[in-house]
Amino acid sequence: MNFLSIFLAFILGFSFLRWVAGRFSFIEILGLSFPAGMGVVTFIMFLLNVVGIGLTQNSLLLAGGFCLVAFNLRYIIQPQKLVNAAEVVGEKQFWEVGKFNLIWLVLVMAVAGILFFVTKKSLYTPTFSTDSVSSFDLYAKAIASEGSLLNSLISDRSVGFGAAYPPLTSLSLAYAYIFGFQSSKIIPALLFISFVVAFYGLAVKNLSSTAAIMATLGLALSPELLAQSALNTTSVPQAMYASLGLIALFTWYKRKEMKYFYLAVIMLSLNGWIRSEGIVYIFTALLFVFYVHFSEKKFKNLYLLLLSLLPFVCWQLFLKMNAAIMEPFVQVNLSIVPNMDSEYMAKILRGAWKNFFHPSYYGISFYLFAAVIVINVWAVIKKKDTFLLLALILLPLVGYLFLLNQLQLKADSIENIMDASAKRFFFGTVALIWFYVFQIYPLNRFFKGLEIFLGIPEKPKHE
Amino acid sequence: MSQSARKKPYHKKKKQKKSKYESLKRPSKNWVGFLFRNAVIGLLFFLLFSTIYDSSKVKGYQWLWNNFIVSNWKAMEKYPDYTFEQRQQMKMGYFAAYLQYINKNTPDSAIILMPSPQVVDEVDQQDKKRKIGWLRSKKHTTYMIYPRKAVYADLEQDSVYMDKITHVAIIGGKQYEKLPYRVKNQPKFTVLPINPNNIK
Repeated sequence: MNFLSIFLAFILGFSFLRWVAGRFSFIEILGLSFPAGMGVVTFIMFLLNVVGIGLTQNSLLLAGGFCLVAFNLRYIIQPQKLVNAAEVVGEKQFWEVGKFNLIWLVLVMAVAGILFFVTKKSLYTPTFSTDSVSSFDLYAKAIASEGSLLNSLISDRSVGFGAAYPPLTSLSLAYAYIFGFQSSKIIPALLFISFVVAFYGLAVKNLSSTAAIMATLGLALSPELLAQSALNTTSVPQAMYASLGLIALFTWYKRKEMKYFYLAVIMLSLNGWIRSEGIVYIFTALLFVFYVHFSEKKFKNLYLLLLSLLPFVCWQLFLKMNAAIMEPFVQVNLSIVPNMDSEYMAKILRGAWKNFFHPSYYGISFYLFAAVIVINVWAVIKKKDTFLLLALILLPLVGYLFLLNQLQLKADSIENIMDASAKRFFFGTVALIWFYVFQIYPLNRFFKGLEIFLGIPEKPKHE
Repeated sequence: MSQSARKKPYHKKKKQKKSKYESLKRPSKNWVGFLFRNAVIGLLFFLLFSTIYDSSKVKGYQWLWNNFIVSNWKAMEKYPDYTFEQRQQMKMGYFAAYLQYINKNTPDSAIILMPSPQVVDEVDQQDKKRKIGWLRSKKHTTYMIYPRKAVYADLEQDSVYMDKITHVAIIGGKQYEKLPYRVKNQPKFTVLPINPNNIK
């Protein structure tokens, strides 16, 4: 039953993406289905909880099955459409994962090796990180056992601040417990695999295969990100949803394919469904779309993108409606009045800088970013798409620092946060950096040429 | 149609001069060339990677390989057949072992009086090998014994459970005074029911 639940989440995600966005390639389906599925499953769990239905195996199977039918209704009503959809599977383009050369192959094997190791470690090691033990995994156990978000741990205040985080992480870990897993670590393991595969799938739509796999390896080898990927906390999954959302948005802009826009809306919504500060990525996307459509004065896409705020708003309403019981778990308050304390801001900037160039946290990511900005400064000024891509990386970073400046902390000092926790805030930026680096003109052109140079021998043409 | 439009433009056929680098812009013609090209470029990338790996500016990659990948791999290979409980003990030490003992010796509905943080500190100082510091944290303890309730006398929110306690957690031979009866053999680490009739 337990692995059936994982399959259900995967198939729900696949069907939802197919229904909302459209057809994706094999590698994109492989990477995106499970994260989208966990988003759908946790939103179903939330809705069931709101209407007072207990979270049990039966209620989840029933609700999941109902959604599966709803997402695939057009195929049930008109089976001919299913036949047409199945024809895509026969197309060579659908299965294309990259252009073969030996370097690409070695790098694919390196990425596969990393994923194998992280999965093995994740499944072998029980939960022990403080945030997870005191918040997410503990809360998940209670949700699974008592079938409700408002359970005895909340009334007894026996759980940490994580209980007030948007519930994607806690509910997805609870989903694993409800279906009989002894440990919930299967969830972060599958999410990390999905992250890496989906990142490659989207990167290869914009870059040559060798550049895409190199960017993927650079991301997967970011030391702190890889170390955190084996823990069941919120940071790496949020980085996944946020960065994939913005990369999908850029892909939509570049390729003019609406499916990537819908994908961006889905991923960005889930980024706000896992950590509240995910709104900085959503606001970045809103600014991006506003800028793109400003000259045409057509804002339909902007309104569509506003939908990505929906899960975040739902959770904030839930917290407000249950303020009496949930308030002690809210770690910070957001001040609307701008904090003009320059010393406070300086502490944040110093802390962030220290994190970016820390010898152990992100490897060469920020060094490479700095170098690429210098190399590419002319193209940023002259080329709109290069400028927009850089804006997609810098705006959330600035937004994050601004948000930190506006937070009224209840349990910790800003120095401690910048020293101990902030290293996890920039994982999304790291993913975007690795995508950006290979997009710049000199590198992009170099790798396109390299790919031809390294390609397999051509068959002689018969005349 | 005007005269000029009818005239076909005159193009002088130019001999296209092939650049000496033209062959580099095409895949190699045979498998030997393919292997050679891939090997040379692969070697260059390898040198680049190893330079980055050895750089003192980014020690993270060395940490990742030595401390994260190799040492964790060795630990997993050393004890591949460990049960979930044993792996918990491997990570959390005696803290996990003691609370697993509580789980085995109390019902799911148990409400357990835990030692105060001061007592935990005292015992932790006396017996540093056991590492029971996490017992100070109600959340960590609850994580291990849920659905049982961990009650801490010094926490305000736990006061409602003080008259409902069913068991007392004994650590370092302390807390026997919380029991309403005398215990002859006093083990250092155990859990005992408030009601003497429930002693196994």
